[in-house]
Amino acid sequence: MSDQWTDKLRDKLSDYETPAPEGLWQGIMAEVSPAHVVPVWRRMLHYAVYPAAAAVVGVIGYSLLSRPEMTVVRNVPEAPVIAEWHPSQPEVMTGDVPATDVVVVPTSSALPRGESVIAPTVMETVPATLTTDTTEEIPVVTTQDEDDGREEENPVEQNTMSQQWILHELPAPRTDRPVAAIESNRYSRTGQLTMSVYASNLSAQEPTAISGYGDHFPVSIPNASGIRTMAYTQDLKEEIVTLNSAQETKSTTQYSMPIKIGFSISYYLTNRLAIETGLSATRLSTKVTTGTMQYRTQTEYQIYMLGMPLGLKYTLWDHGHLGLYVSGGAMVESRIARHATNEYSINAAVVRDPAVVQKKGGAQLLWSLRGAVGVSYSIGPQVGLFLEPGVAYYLNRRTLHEVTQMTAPAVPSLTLGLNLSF
Amino acid sequence: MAVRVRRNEIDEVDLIQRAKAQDPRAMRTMYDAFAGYLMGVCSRYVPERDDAKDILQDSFVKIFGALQSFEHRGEGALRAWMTRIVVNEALGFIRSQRHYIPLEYDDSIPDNPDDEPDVDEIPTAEIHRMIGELPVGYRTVFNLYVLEEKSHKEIAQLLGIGADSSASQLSRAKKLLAKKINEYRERRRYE
Repeated sequence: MSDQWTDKLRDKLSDYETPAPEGLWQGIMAEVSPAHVVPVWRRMLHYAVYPAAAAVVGVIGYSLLSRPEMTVVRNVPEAPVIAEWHPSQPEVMTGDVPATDVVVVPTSSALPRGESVIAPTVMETVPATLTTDTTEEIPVVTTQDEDDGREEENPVEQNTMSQQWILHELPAPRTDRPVAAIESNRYSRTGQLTMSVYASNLSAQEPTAISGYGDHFPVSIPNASGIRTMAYTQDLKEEIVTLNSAQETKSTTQYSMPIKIGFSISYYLTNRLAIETGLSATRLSTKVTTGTMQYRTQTEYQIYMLGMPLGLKYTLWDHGHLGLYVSGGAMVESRIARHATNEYSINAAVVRDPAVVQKKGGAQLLWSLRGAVGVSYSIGPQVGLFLEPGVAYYLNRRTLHEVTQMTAPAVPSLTLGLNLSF
Repeated sequence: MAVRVRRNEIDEVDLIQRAKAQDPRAMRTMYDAFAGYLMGVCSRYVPERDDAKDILQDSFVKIFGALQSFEHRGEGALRAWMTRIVVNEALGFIRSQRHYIPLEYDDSIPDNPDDEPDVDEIPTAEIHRMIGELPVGYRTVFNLYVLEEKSHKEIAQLLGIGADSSASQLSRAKKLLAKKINEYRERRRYE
């Protein structure tokens, strides 16, 4: 065999080009220029933006809604003067309050969770000396028993109040004339309405791969002589299927991390049990590659879902700022939009279909059962954060795949959100 | 999307000087002018596109890093220099994947194909694909000998094999490629 054909072949290939892969230049620049390297913390920040936003809102809410730890009430029955005093700034006292003739009562934020001052009035003049010392005496306040409404004297817990009471000398109050009335409302969440906003990073599913043989043979069309000839279509996707006939093919599905945001409303039926509903929006991103190494199609789906949960939340434990709860229920979701973009790879050449196939939601509804365990932390009287690991189980795997491309019915999630109580 | 730049439209000397000075626009112009060709070279050795992309990325990083030492000695010198870097990177990748360049022996290849293949009417992309389908040992030797115009002695040194093994691999590669081309022409005749 002579070398003439290889010489021709060299000539043909001498200027042959194939399109450079997408993202190559960015990859080069990331290595050539340190300034272009995206630091790990920035990539992490990208995923943490929603929880961070919730935290910022929480801090702002706390600063707006927080109250001074103490309230000084001047004992003038006709026109009580209320001033505010902050232990962190003992020299600052606002309001027209003399150094004597006052009594100090805690405001609701200084009280143990579930208790609040309902009548910060003083029934008679109680001489006292205001100092910045921490009293060693445990003040006694009168509370109303929830069950029978009787008033009883309760020493305020030392660990809660000792650093907040500033009276050097406080006469024991007379039981028939309470210094202040503190309502014990440990079970008063009944009827409370709580609104939550949250962001959730659902667990991205593991990539899946299915192998098989291309079973689509070229369409054969009989010509005038009756001989069947192969017909190649202009449709690239169809052509790739044809080229892969009888070849070992592989279909892989890769899932990006889904993001869910939403809000929920809880209504406390009792102090511990609440009913919950709301709305959620979910974005799923999936990439499906099918074919052989030489001929393959790649479809990238962006799927948007709207969901409505309905469930119950039960508070297991609640002490101070911390709370622990479980929740469970069902959720129905519907796809509201789906965008699909196709890319075709024939040999080393990649053709991206500029058309984006857009589909609105289908009639199919996705039903799932959900359960979660949550930890809440109150950062103010009406504001709290919660962290809620949970899992959703989709009842119909076939519908799940048709609607979302996902295959595993159990989807773990981690939700971070902000609670606002009214 | 990358902007296609015709190589004959650029002043290579000026481009190299600016790229040496880390001018990002010059680097981008150089990339746009040569990325397609170098991808073609790279994918002849390593057809898997993701791997070829990684190799080409490493090659460009080396090209921009070593540009200071490059001396322009006439038209085509830049492309030849860049091609050498890409080929070396591709060979390094093949070695790293398999630790050596495996020699291939396929008894099914006829010793004397019926006739010399006619490559005139075969689309270049098809030829490129067929080369990519050759077993890695055949493909590597064929690329180096036929397309990079290396001698068997040079190939032997590059791949750590004997010169006679290189010649043997080339002969088998040519026969297998000729067979593929003839089969392709045969298929097209009935379409």
